[in-house]
Order: sequence, then C-alpha cells, then structure tokens
Amino acid sequence: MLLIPCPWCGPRDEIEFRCGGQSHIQRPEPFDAVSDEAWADYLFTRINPKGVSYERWLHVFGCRQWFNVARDTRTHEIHAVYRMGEPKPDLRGVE
Amino acid sequence: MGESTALWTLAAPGLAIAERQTPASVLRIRRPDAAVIRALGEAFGLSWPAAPNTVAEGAVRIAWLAPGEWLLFASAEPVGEPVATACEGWLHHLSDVTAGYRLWRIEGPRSRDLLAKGAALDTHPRVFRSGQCAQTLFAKVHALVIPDRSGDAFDLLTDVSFAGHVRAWFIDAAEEFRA
Repeated sequence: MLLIPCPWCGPRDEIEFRCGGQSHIQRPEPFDAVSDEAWADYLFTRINPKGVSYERWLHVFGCRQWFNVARDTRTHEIHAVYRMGEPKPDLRGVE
Repeated sequence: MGESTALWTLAAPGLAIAERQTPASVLRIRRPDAAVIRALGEAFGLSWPAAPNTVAEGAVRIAWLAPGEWLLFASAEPVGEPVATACEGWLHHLSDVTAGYRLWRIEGPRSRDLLAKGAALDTHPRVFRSGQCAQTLFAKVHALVIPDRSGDAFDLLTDVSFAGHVRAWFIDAAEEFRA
C-alpha cells in the first residue's frame, strides 16, 4: 500500500485516497473553434509514462481536497506532492 | 459541554464506549483570510483552529475539517448569530448537521488498542495529542477522531447511517479484551 503525504493531513494510507488520473491537462479554448481531433485528444489521450507520472489525487476519506502527486510508475516512489494550481516541481535528475 | 444520555454503551476490561447524539454544524468560508479567522476566534472566545487537523475548545468545540471548513459541536441556532457577525462580508454558510452524525466516546487504557483495530491512523500521544483531530477510515467508515486531554480517551464522529454497523464492529472488536 502507498503512503501518500496529503499536503494538509500528512502521510496517510492509500485507501483514504482516490486517484484522478493525469494532471496538468489543459482544456482547449475557445470551445467553438476546437477541432474534433483536439477535443478527442483532450478527452481521451493520456500519457502512460514509464517513470515519473504527474497525477491528481483526492483525499476522499480525509480533508476531501484534490492535489498533485509526482509518482514513479516503476517504483511507486512519490517524488513530490503539491497543491492544485502550483507548477510542476523540477524533477530533473529523477525523471 | 453538557453530556446527553448515552444511546448505547459497551464495557469491557479497560474499555468503555458510549454512543451519543451530538449537536453539530458545518461552517464553510471561501478562502478565509487572517481577519475573518481572528473575528471568529473573538466571537467564540478561543483561538480559531485555522491550522489543518486542529481542534479548539471554548464554550463550543470546533474542529478543522478542510481548508475553509469547520465542524462546530453546536446546533446552528445558537451559533448562527456570532458566525454571521464574524463573517460579515464573506461568502459563507452554516448548516445544522445534528441529525447526520453520532458521537462515540471511547475511554480506558485499551482505547488505543481498539482504535488500532479499525484504523491505520497513528494515535500515539507523541504524534496525536489533545488539540489535534484527524479524519480517517475507521472500520471502513469515514470518521473524525478527536483525542481527549487525558490521553486514553477519544471522541469519534461517524455518519448516523453507519451507527448499526459501528455498534456491531465495537461488540466484535471488544471481544478479545474480555479474554
């Protein structure tokens, strides 16, 4: 089981959380000028990295806040945890 | 804080559990700043628990639930006016959730052993003391855990709809302490 450090509650067991998939996805704008291809890409295309994955997680059985986790898909190591709206941390050297 | 009569109790060596109804309200404020936190603290005569997972106790016990969200152990009616005055000019809302929760008081030297059977939360007094609180999964149910000043008593708040399940879980979990 992962031990996930919630930015508000500290380290908690994975069962208290839900994973919300890839983070930092930007909705294409303006909505009436977006091609079908770009819209489908926004909705369905997800990267599947071998290495650091930037994901959204929800502390559903805690403070019920969304936040970002940089998790290594090979080792499950959590390199960084940061709040929504904050930029991706600089993880050069571990990626 | 006046204690209401227990709806259900359980006693085992080193352990006493009592289920009670508790008045409860949820206060939500969108992105509160230091001024409104101070005003709330003054209105309730305590240091408002602005830090995550902290509890303050004055005439009313108040627990941090989420950024900009608190649980007040009082029905909405008596606290409505001081809250409205302190939050003037702020988008906020206060709802009475008394009917939605049950309070479980767990006391005795075995209370931490019992909690450990239902939750992975570290309840050791070194890291979880009076003045703190935590929301976690307890017996697969979302619970708010508040340690007591004495160190071997805890208050647990769960949804009322799980009361039957929690009661049954306590009965089963306390069995080993009778041996």
